[in-house]
Amino acid sequence: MMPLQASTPETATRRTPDRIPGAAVGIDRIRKTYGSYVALDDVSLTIRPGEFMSFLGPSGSGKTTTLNVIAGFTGHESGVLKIDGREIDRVPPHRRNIGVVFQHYALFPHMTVAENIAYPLRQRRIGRSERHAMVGAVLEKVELSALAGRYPAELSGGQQQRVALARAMVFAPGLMLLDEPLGALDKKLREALQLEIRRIHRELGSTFVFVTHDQEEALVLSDRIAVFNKGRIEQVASGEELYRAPKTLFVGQFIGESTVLRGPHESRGDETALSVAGARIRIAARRPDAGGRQCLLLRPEDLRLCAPGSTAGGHENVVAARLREKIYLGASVKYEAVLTDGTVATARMPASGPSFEIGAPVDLVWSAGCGTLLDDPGA
Amino acid sequence: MSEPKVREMTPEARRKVRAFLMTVPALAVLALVLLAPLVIVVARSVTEPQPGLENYRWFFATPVNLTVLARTFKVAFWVTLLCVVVAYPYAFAMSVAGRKLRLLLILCVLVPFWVSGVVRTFAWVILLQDSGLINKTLLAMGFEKIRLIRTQTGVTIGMVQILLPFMIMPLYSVMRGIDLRLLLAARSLGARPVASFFQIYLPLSLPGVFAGATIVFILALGFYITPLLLGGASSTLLSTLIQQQVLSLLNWGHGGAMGVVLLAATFGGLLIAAPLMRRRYPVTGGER
Repeated sequence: MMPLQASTPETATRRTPDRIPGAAVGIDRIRKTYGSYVALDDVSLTIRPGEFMSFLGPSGSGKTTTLNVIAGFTGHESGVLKIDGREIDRVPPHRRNIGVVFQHYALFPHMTVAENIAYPLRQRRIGRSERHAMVGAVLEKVELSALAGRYPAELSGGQQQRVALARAMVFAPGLMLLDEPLGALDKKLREALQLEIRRIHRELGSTFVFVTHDQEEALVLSDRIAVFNKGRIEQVASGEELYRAPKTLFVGQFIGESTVLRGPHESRGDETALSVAGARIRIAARRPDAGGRQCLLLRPEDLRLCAPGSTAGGHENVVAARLREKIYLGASVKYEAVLTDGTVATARMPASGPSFEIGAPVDLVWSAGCGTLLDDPGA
Repeated sequence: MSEPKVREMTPEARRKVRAFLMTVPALAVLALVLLAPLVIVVARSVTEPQPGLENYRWFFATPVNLTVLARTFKVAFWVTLLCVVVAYPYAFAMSVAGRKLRLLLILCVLVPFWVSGVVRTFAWVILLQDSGLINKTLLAMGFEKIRLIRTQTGVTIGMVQILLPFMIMPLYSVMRGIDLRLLLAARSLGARPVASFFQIYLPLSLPGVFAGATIVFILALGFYITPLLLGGASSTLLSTLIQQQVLSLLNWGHGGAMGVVLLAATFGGLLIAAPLMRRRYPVTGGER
């Protein structure tokens, strides 16, 4: 058998109990097509050593394809893939030394939990006693020591997921790829496992790439999030930055809730004016380089509801609307109001504030400094 | 009177009773067409021409019987082995093929299956005979003739072709259930392609191999038409001997004893194979 590139038996054993140096991943203009369908359209991305990076996007956006390219399961037509500076485009998957956790676990049904976890160690010709110790240590880490002799079919979904995680990290890979690993679990278990994955990432030190279509999950786990859409990466940034300063309308709408106001715009000095539903809106931002249509993206907490006519206007924007929905959320109340041009606005206010009834006319109020001015790709 | 009793039963027990009732017609047919003749055969083997085990003593005291019995098992073994070797890659191709190719592959298995075994055997006679297609081709290419008809090789070839569907279908149904992502998982964990096959795919497909092999082996043991038409005197199988005893010599006692010995030997073989077929790991109840 050919030696596996990164962890020979000696290095793997030495590394396991301690922290693993995370691998750096460089993806440079990778392109992948299926016939006329472009799955990846020149995707470029740099993942830092030890980082927790999430790939977020709707299904078919290219996030899983990118993961498969990194793992070596899918070939790409052009572009370069590097791990720790080394080109690995021609390295077969079994020599990439990457831990992969699959969406449906992909545990070997004819092997016990301990045998499943020992599998990568056996491929690396690690001796029986050492293997035993390593399996024991990783089982302890995922709190499954009591189930070592069970078969996968005898475990719950959450337990199977933890075995898959243990199997992917037992050989101390510098890079872990997780493909929607929590997708099949119920909400409560998912949240518990999210925290466990975060803890394991912190303790292990290797780089994690986590594919998900659940933005909340991505926000909980990640250092940075790459937002995928139609085979491209729209933006790579921290969760907070994606929420507060999205670069595209897609990112703004995909992350969190939003209200999008559209209308003819003109720039005046440092400001932009937008005509929306018969009202003139001032935006304390200007995008002189931007041509075409513009829109304003507002977050629910930017907006305030007031009784009609109770605000003078002045330095704040006021738009008339009618309340359509009122949802009590404990600490806050979420309102949905329809503008005269049909736009639906979402506002969130503290539950302790004034209350409004469904069907009532209201004024939507926000300051000119709120919101993000974005290109409108055309509604 | 039975009314209160039924109400006392748990839903589980009631389901079982109902399921059993549904098997009654099938059981009745089996009893009539299988069990009754079998009982008659066993009875005649120990009563004709006079009561006792004389027919069995004759069977084991006649060397040709033992030779033919051994040959029957040998041919069944080779047929089974060849079926596994031919069917395994074919069934694998079926399980991974796209929709259209899969349909074509299934048709290639089923269409010959719909043609009667006798017709197919005559087709093999035409192909295998000394002046047949195979030998003509060999001659035209400058090779010497080989003897295929009336040999064990010829019998084996014909039987493999006719029994192949019984191996491919169980294999295919097991292989379709194997998650191919397991192979990707094995690769990502450091297994070379060959290792991932032998350590993951092969063990998971074994139940299909054993199921198909059992069916083919049992059918091969009792095969009659094909060995009769393709074989010669030196390749007679037990079924042919039984037919001679019963139909030509009208010796029901001898024929019955031979049938019982073949049946007992088959059961013996199954008993040995049964532990191999049992899955050692549970397969259901993944999400609990």
